[in-house]
Amino acid sequence: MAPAQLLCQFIVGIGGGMILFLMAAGVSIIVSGMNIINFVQGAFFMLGALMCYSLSQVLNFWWALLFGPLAVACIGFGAEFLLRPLYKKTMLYQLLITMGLAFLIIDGMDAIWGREIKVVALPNYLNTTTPILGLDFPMYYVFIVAASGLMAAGLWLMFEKTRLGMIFRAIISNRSMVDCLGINVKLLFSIMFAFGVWLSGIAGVLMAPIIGIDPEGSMDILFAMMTVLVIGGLKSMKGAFFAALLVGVINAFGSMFLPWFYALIPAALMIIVLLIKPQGLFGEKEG
Amino acid sequence: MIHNKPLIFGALVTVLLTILAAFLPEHRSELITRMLIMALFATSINMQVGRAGMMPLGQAQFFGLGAYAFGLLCVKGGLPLSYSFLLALLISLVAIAIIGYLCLRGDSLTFALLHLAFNILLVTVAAKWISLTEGDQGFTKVPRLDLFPGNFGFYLFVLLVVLGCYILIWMIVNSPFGKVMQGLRENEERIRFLGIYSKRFQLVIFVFSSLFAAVAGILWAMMQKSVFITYMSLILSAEGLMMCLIGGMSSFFGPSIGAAIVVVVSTLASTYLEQWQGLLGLIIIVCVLGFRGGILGGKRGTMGL
Amino acid sequence: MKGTGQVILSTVNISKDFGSLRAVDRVDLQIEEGEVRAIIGPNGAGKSTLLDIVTNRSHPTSGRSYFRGSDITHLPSYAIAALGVGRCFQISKLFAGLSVFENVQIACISKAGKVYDIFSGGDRVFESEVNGILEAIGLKAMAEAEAGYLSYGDQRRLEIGITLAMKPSLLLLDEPTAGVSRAEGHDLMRLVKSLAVDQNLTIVFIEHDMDMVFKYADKISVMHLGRLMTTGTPDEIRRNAMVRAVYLGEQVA
Repeated sequence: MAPAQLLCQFIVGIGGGMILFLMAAGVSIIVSGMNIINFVQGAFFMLGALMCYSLSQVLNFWWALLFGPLAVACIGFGAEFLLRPLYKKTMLYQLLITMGLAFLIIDGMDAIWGREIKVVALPNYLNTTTPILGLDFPMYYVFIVAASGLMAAGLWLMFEKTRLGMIFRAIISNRSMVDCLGINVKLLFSIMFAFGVWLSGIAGVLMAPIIGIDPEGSMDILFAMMTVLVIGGLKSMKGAFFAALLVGVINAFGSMFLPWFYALIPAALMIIVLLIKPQGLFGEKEG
Repeated sequence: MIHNKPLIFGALVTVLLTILAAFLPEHRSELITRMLIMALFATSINMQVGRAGMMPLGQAQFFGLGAYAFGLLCVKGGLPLSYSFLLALLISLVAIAIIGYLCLRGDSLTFALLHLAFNILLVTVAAKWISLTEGDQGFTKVPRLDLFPGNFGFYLFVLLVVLGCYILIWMIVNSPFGKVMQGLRENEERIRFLGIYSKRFQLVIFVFSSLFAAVAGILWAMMQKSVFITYMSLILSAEGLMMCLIGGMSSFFGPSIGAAIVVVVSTLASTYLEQWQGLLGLIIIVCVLGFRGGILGGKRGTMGL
Repeated sequence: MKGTGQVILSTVNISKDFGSLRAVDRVDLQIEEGEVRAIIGPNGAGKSTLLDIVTNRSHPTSGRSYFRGSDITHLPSYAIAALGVGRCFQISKLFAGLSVFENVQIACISKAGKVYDIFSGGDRVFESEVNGILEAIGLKAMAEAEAGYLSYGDQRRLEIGITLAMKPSLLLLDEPTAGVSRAEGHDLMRLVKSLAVDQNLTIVFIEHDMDMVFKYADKISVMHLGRLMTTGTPDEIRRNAMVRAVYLGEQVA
């Protein structure tokens, strides 16, 4: 197998992984910070993709990239009000109610956009191939890697260097202390949630041109996210990053070499990690 | 007396359902059979959730496992029906024991995630092992056990099996074992400090609960006369949990009522409304936010049911 | 009730480190059968951690513990409990959503070995045993009350009842009178002591209230910064200058 092809596939893998990371990051923030298990993220991802579809028909792709996730985030902000009573409940209730919300959103999407699979057209200059090492490589994947890389870096910067990020981290560490400091935790929770949803929305928009957009696929996306999170560690952003890249690359190479078998690897990895290091590869043992 | 009420309720409901099944037109009476099977599925889940405080996020894997084992033994193996039924249960038992043992290796969150992970794994295996399972296409020509003839006869057969399982579950849940189950839900550490090997105990509960799910799966395969991948799907697992939630997890018949509601909504609503899953989502949200514990909810279950 | 001379519980060189913090430091403890031993010491002395290690709620960094001569260092908690070691916790561990009756009932079920019995009717099983225990701990009237709604003192009683239903030979109590009134505290300790005499129990209790300690203990062990400083009769401890320094900050000559 020519090294160029391997490199190509590797980049595809990284690209896919980056997208997984963006989705997983959204869930991770919400799980770490708000301590709720959130099964509605897959639906928001799809919603982002659909927003991209609609917006890119009216405006161009770049505006869709900008406004789509924001629209999704607004809906997320509103949804958070619905989810307020959840914070005190057990994980099972949170899981089921977020899933119920997901069902609602999925059917809403069905109703508004219809069930046929949609395709988003790319602007011409992105829809090209560039020759890398003698192979024609789809430009869009490079764009995805670059865009998500930028987002990931931005996320890191935000968390480590800005005041908002610091407050987020504090909430993740010890919510009640932050409350005592007079910061409006309720509002921040809503912002945190909306932010997590926004990330999924971006992932949705970025993926829109290369997947068939189908609301029914929302839950499959969610379970892919869950796999990544479990492998990396539910509350660890760094873990989510590396786990996502790992899964992305495995998927890319797997589909090339072991088409029958590769689909099993993420689930098998999830099981192995849970058995050996249940807090995830990068997670910390609690207590 | 607390014990008599549920028995009377159960008897009344059985009679009512049987009358409906006998006199409704065919596509409606099949609804009743569906309700029965799903009620068994939901009740099996609640053995873990409502009683023992465990969270089986992927119970559909055992439902599907039973269905696949039975279907494959009949259709591809050519075995006679009753043998297939028993052998399917045996195969399921082995898988259940292994998966259960592995799932219980960590704490309760790890249990829930492992349960989910195995569900994902099994679905993927079923989807990819096309030579065995026909993958996404599924297969048909699964026979029914013709204890009594006709559709109504099949309903009676399902009723017998489901009632038998219910009686077993009732016994388990109302025995000393059942009391310890409740203790497990309340405070696992105290159970251990009372000298009880909690992991082994949980494994026994797990095996019972998952076996009943497998029985339900076999019945479903018979009813549909086919086996599809959706029988194992994560969505079905979630629906099972929703049934428990809607009907109420603290009572014996709660999950059954939840199952009836979900089956009715999905079957009837899907003829009039394309988006019935959203309706289900709405019902869930209302139930969680509105009622404290589902329809038959409350701490001990209203009406002692 | 004084010791019979037979050692029922002993620890040899038990240490526990939490990172760089040495919570328990090379503790050698010997408890005689039938004794009532108090373990006292300032906060952070390692008393609860020591009990945790003995019941394997926590693993020792080094050292071994023995119950009636057998090594229980790495035996799982449930096995230690089944051997006859009962434990009451600083924060009561009860079945909060179940009734007082059911709480004790579950303990009786376990003691009788009927945990896996799926055939008997469950509601009123072991009724007479449970009622007997409820009477002994004074909670008969509250039998149907939900355990989580009991007053703090009653919850302590219930925990003692649950633990005693297992007919242990060694009872470990973690601050049994903390959080209850003086009178209730004495009630509890009198109850524990009388039940101990009835059932030939050995009792080890952690306590901060010196009145309780001097009134009910046969022997007192003093811990400080993880070390077992000294063990002696109440009189000996009262006169011990080192103990006074630890507790009262007096200068040791």
